[in-house]
Amino acid sequence: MAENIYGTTGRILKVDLSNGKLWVEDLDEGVLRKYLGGTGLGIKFLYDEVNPNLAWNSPDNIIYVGSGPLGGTKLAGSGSFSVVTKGAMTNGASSTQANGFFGAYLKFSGFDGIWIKGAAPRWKYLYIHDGTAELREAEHFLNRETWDTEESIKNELGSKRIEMSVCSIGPAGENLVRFAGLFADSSHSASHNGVGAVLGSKKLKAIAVARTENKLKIADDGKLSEVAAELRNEFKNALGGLIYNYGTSNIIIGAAKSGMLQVKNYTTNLFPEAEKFYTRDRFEMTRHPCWACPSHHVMHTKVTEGPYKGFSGKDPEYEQSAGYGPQIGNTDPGAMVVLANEGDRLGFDANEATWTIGWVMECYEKGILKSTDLDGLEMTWGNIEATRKLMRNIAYRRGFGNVLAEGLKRSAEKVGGDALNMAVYTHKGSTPRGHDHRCKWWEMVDTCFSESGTLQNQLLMVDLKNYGLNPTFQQHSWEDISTVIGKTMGNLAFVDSLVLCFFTCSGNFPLLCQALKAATGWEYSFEDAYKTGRRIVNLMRIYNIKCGLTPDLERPSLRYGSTPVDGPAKGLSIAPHWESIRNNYYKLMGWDTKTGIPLPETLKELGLEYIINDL
Amino acid sequence: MLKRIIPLCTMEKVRVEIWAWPPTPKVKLEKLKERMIFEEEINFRIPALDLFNRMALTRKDFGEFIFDKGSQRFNFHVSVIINEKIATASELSKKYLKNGDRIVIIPLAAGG
Repeated sequence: MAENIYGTTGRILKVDLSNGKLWVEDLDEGVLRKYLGGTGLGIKFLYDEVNPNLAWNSPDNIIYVGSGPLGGTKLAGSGSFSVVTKGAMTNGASSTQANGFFGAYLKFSGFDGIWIKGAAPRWKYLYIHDGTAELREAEHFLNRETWDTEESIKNELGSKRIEMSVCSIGPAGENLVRFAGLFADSSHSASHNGVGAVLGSKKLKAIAVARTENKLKIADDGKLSEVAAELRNEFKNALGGLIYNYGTSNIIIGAAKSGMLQVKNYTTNLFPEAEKFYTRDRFEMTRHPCWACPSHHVMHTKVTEGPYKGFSGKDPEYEQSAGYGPQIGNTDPGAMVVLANEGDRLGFDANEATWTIGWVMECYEKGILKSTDLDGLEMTWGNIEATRKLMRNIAYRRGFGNVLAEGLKRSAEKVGGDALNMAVYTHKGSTPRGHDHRCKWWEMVDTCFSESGTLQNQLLMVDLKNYGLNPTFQQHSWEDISTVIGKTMGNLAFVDSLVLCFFTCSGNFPLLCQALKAATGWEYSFEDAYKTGRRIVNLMRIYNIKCGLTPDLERPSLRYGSTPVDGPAKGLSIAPHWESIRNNYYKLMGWDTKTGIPLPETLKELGLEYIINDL
Repeated sequence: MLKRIIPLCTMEKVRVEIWAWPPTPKVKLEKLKERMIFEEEINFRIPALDLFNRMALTRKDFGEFIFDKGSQRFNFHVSVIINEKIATASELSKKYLKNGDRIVIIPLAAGG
């Protein structure tokens, strides 16, 4: 661990899989202050080192798995990690996060992050322990699902459950399914923009980090304890304790009431069975908390009724409930638990998988895809067993599963005709999160303009007054939503560079700045946090433009931007306002309103002078 | 002789249901499905916006966390649903309430 440095370890582990070389590199404190860690540092590496013309599966692509300056501290949710690479879905910048323990253990081992390049000639896994690391054979773990891989590696290394954190890819990642993710600690996934496929292309099956003694140096431990307690209290009370006490699966009830629930691929918005999907009222639950988190958010569950009675696994988060429930016409919560867990174990992103399966079902209903096209599967709405088989076909790229493994946008383009008009995606190449954004416009806007391949902003619990905004705005006014998104953009990039769970920090940026100062000793104001977040977003922006991003890609597909035909949002349409939204957003971001290219003065203000002439 | 009593006016009511308080709540939900439910009287048909202005005066938390009288707007986290249909901000002054109407104010929480 570097001397005279607090909060961060000041160093990263570097791995070149092509030649099996591992080494440690010290980080410059100036760079750390500017990019913090996690997403920020990863994007800096991506920008500086990965040629935008390279394909996502090139050995020269890098993948960065990082904690941040608050990782492994007493702050709830500081075991999270962020993954950055050139993503398989958008072929542009990717940033995705998972919670759990991995980030904390990585810091205890003496590393802020792991930088990985190259491709191994044979399957390997990386084992980090006591400040050192080694690459080990992983051929015998091939075809193992994520949870099984985790257990098998722990057994091989003689570790008990909580003494080690393992993140791994499943068969989907091994077979380069474009929407494969990275899964850790039997519950958590960093799954957007195909980071698991990138690891698969490098033949890296898993990363295991042993828990070692915590030698992190904290600048002001007393102050950090104080702030940690305050943040825990905020989280406890946020939204009436909604997430703290009941996790996210409860959201399905309100989502159904408000029109925000994805139902049968946007062909309807009605789902009267929503209350049944609040699994905590229904099944057995055991707490499975993340690092330093006192909440009741993450649970493991046992299905206690219905045809899947006795199945045990993790209690799915809201987006999995929605995706493997109403989106595919499934009304059985037990079956939803089974499908969500199988998706995680096969190793793919639940959002992309369920948008794809729902689309297949609609195509089947309308006679566009027939059983003969689908390897004999009858993909009727809610057909659980057919869905299970289809998921396996995707993970192993068998039959039509090989087409679907390319993701929804590419599959729909291949089938073509009306099928293309029925697919829910962004023109950048990825699908949205598991909501009906046609009633929640700001998230649709954020999704389509995101640089990371998934939601890039987070307004839940954020105090808009910090951004000089009135905490009221009209959900269905294009001026209001584009203004709020444009002015607050970067907030999530900041949190993902500290690498904290967004729920646990309640979006309280002034307190987070205090925590950062207590951990590192750095003076850090809200203005600094704001600039850091926007710096990271702008760096991603320039990188994506160099990868081929143009303004016409920043829009929803026909179905994604359609008008609901029933439910609470019936008749609401964002489509006529899209150009106005884009212009206002670009303007507020300090970008050219026609090309979307950041203006020189914007880059200068954010300390990015050095890239002004890069385009 | 039977006298027919004709009431001079009838007391009309609407039901206002609030799901989970928006940020910085004073109220902890003891149970997830617990809702704040108010039966609000409306003597005459009034625009929904008038009712919310009245509630902001008479119910402190409502005025503090949910509806801002100054801007005549709701907290950005919530959606207002009247009889199962989203009421946009511009509709609230035009939407006249009648006896038995059901209003749901619900946060658009998402994620996970």
